[in-house]
Amino acid sequence: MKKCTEDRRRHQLIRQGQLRRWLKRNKWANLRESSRKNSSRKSKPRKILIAPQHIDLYRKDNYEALCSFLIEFRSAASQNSGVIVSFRNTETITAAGGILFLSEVDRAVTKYGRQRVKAIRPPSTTAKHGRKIQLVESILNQIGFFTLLGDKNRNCPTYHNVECWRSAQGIKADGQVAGELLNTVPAEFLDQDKLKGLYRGVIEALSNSVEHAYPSGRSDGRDALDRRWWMFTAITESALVVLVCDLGVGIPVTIKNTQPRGFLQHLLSMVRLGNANDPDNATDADLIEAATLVKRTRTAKTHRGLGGSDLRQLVEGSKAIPSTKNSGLSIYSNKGRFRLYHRDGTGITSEKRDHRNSILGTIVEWSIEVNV
Amino acid sequence: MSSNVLRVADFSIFPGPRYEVLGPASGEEFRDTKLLPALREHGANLIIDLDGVISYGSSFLEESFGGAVRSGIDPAVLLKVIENIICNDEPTLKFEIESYVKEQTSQL
Repeated sequence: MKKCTEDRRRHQLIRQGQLRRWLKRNKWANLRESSRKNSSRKSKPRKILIAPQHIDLYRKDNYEALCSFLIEFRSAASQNSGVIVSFRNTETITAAGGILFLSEVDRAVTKYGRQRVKAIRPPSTTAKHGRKIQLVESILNQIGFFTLLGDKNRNCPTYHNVECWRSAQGIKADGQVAGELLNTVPAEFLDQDKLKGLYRGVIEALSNSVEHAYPSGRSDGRDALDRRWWMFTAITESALVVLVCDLGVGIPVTIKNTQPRGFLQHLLSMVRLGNANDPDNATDADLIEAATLVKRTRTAKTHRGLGGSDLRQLVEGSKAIPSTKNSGLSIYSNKGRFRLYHRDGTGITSEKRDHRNSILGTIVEWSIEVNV
Repeated sequence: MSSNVLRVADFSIFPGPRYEVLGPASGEEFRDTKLLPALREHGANLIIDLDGVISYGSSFLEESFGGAVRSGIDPAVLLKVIENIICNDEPTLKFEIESYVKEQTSQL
């Protein structure tokens, strides 16, 4: 009906020579109407999250910042509107921070789809001689971050250390995947003895992940059934690092589920000062250390639980294989971190600490000092 | 009659986890498909060659050899086989495997 009226009006204006003015007036009216209708259909905009300045777990402040960011990321990615991760402030990515970051994004993309997560690339920095440095973007390219989001890698310089970063993932403890990844490390950085020690530890870490990490859903409330592990090898400025990461329930939970209470109390008495060996009051760091000692004590009566010594072997050595000087083992699980390291001249020492936030999973890292 | 030499590298150069359910080339799979049949056929004359693989996790070794005792193999026969084991790449593997067999024997 309205169209008939408009047509009649149009013919009248043509006769009167006023069509052009009429069309102009109605064009703006139609545009306003169209805009009003469109605005009511607009969806919630994507949330923009600024990635931490240092994507890192080694320093305590960086650890807490990364965990806080990931809490926000998981929440934002679960919304229909999605999330944009901006790297405008990011200056460094370390291996442990990188593997946790990538695995969390990978998990979200797998659960919700690529359209939910987008990224704004990091800016380049300028070195003293005026050359542009794009180290952060180079690392993100190398570990497959942009490919994961469905974006193409942008051309940026390659850096010798970054080229050696490699990643793999799986849901089974596949020695071939792990072994082939270790074999990509240049021979100058990894002799046969160290390779054997690393493989032993890695296959044990993968086995633990597959067998124990995912008995139930993760406690982040996102209900994403994802049983994967992720593995990195990387050459940093001074070390070869190899990492295995899972986003499961964590060692502090699994050790309570797999070890009899009395035996766990005995283990805790070995790692805690005084007689405080109540598993319910033990910190995550204490429980991680206890887990690495399961087979060491003669109280263990089963043929299981050998893997703790495999994890530690690279650093501590064994009866016939000497310990590796300037090497380290770090295990992050939930809120705890346990570290065992061998410094040339000071021998083997350990340290542990607990954090405010949990990584909601486990990262096992071996490091060997190398000349880069 | 098949050869009395059992090379682990023919099974896999990447020995895997303990159980088949955990991943490929497991100690359980090696024991059930290779080791036990070879032991039943050749007994103490079996020669096991551990060389030519990347390395071994302790769980793989324990499930293979400790598991052989749990599967009913005479520990004395197994210990005799271990005496002649070939492990030039990692000589200490012999003693490690021996310890698993002896420990399992003590729990029988």
